[in-house]
Amino acid sequence: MSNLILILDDDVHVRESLAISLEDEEFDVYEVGSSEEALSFLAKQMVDLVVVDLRLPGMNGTDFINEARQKWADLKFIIYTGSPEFSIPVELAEVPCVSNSIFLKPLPTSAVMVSEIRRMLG
Amino acid sequence: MNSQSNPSRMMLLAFVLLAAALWFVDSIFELLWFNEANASFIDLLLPLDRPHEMFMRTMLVSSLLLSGAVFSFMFGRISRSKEAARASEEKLRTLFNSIGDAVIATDANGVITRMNPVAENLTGWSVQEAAGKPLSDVFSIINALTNHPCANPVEKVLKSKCVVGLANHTTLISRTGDNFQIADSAAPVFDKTGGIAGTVLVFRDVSEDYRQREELRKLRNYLSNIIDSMPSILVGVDADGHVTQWNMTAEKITGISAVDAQGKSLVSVFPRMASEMDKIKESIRTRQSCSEERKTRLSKNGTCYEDVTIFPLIANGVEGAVIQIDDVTERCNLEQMMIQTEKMMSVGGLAAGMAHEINNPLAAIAGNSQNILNRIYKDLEKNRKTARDCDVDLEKMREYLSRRDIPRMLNGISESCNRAATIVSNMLRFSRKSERKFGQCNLAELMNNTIDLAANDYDLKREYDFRKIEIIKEYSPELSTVVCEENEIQQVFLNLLKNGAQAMMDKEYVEGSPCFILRLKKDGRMAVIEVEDNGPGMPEDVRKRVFEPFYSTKSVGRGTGLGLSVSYFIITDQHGGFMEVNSIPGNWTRFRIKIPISGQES
Repeated sequence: MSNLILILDDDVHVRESLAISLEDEEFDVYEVGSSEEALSFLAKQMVDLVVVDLRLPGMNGTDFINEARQKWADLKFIIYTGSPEFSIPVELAEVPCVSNSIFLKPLPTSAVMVSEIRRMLG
Repeated sequence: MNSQSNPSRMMLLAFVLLAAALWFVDSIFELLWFNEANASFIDLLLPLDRPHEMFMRTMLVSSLLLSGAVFSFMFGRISRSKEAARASEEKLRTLFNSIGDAVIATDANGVITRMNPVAENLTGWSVQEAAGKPLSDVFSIINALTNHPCANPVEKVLKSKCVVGLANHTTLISRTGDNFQIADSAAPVFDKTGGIAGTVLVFRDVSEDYRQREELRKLRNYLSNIIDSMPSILVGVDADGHVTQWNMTAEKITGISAVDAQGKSLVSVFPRMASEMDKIKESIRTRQSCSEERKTRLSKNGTCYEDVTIFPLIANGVEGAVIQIDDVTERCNLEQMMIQTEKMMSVGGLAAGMAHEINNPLAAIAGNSQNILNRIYKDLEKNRKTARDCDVDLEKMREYLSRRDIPRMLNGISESCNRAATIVSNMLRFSRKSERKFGQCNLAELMNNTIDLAANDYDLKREYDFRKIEIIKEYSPELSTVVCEENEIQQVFLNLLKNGAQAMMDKEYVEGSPCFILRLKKDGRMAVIEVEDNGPGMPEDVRKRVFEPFYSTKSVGRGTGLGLSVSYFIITDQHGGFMEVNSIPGNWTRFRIKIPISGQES
């Protein structure tokens, strides 16, 4: 059974390109454009891992992770952002469900993210 | 006259009276014992009738008178000469005592015979006490500078039989302990036979002179100290352009001492002033000072900037000018650096806002070009299935695409995308937000690692074999570890090595071969890093702009134009250091970095 991954990014092209590369790696991928959408999506359909952009319209990525991990304790998160000045927020640094590596856009190859996803999902 | 002749006259008178008395007494004797004829006393007093008696008496009296005359004459002579001697002695003493200088006379053994009141005053000894004592007991002198006792001048005179002058800076210590600065001389006194009869020592209290001279000397020293301690070159010239003043900085810069420069024509001792001579003359003529700022000059250390100011001198009717030259290279460089930092900060601010907006599309471009490649070439079940469904032979399609250079185009897209990403991330380094991890770092180790890194750099390898470059390491053992952000400093080193290697590639070596000189040293609390290559160097206009963001002399595609400006920013802003470049076109380029050894104090 393949793992379910949700991609949260407000840029549709970024979302799509990442979704395609993950699909090609045999993941089942869903896409949403905002934190609010993601929360309502998760309420209906549970996934294994969310790839989160930090700078988002409405609720930002950090707040989303905080809220989502309260609701779904098993959910894992990977941060994928275009703003290199963002570091992992202090309150999330020690949380095991959030990957310690921040992935900065653009990734020359998705291989590094794929291996991190596999690692986190065991 | 009277007083002089009196003693002899008195003596003569005495003899006359004695003769008269003798005559009279003889008459009494005649009366008492030899008066056979009972003659009267009157007869006996003048015995004209007795020729024999008369003759005897006359003979007696006249011989008495004669000898009296002789005696009194001689006595007169003696007493007169005594008187003259006393008078002359008196005169001499008066003279001696009224001499304004102190005088001490000694005999041939150096024993004091006399001294005048001035000498008494200065030595603190009275004549009575001093007479008969050796000179050294009374006249004790020391060298004012060394405080060592001086040689007794009288002994020198006795030995050399010549006039001896005392050295300068002689201090006389009086009996009471007072100090007097004296100037003196000692001369021998010869007797008739030419032997030494004694010496005369003449000396004078010059304490006041000495004090004034000393004050003048101090003032002169003080003034020349002021002039010498000026960091500026200060050169005085007369109206003909001959050097009259030459301060220490001038000595240091030109290597010519003030003594050697004095009186020489300015151009001969300071050739680069040749262009200023007209201005100097003009300034002297018009009595107007004139200055020129930021005069550029090419020295062996690269370009220097100097402020040259000419002040006309019109004092005491002497015409001339003072030229002041200040090396303002440091200041100019600092200003340029500040402008540079300013520019980069604005780039950084811009970049931070832009990065997100640019990175998102870049992520889509990079991701999708990779996706395309994956969906054509990657061995995926879905690829095969879709091809079968569409009735397309995957291998054939791949061959078609390859022949039409599609993969190369896709790679081109990826590479361009990566380059854009690098530019953005480099620009982001200009913003202060990025997290930095400062730590102790051994610069020598870091430099060596970076050399290995450069040698294996793919971009560089394509164009040049880094291992062909000779590398001279001049690492000072004084410099141990430095507090810095290791990765960033390494990036700076790598940048400089790559730039240098690329520059040296562009040079055709007639003699010698490409060579780096890497220097690590300590300068006070700063670590100094120098990366020098013997490449083509850079002209002034390039040198001035080399740290500007997006300024590049490399052809499009070989560089982003950010490498050096990023390096510059890392050093100056993030490490609180300095970075500068010097070059002699055709010969060498040298980057010098200074960073605080114990990290930036915030």
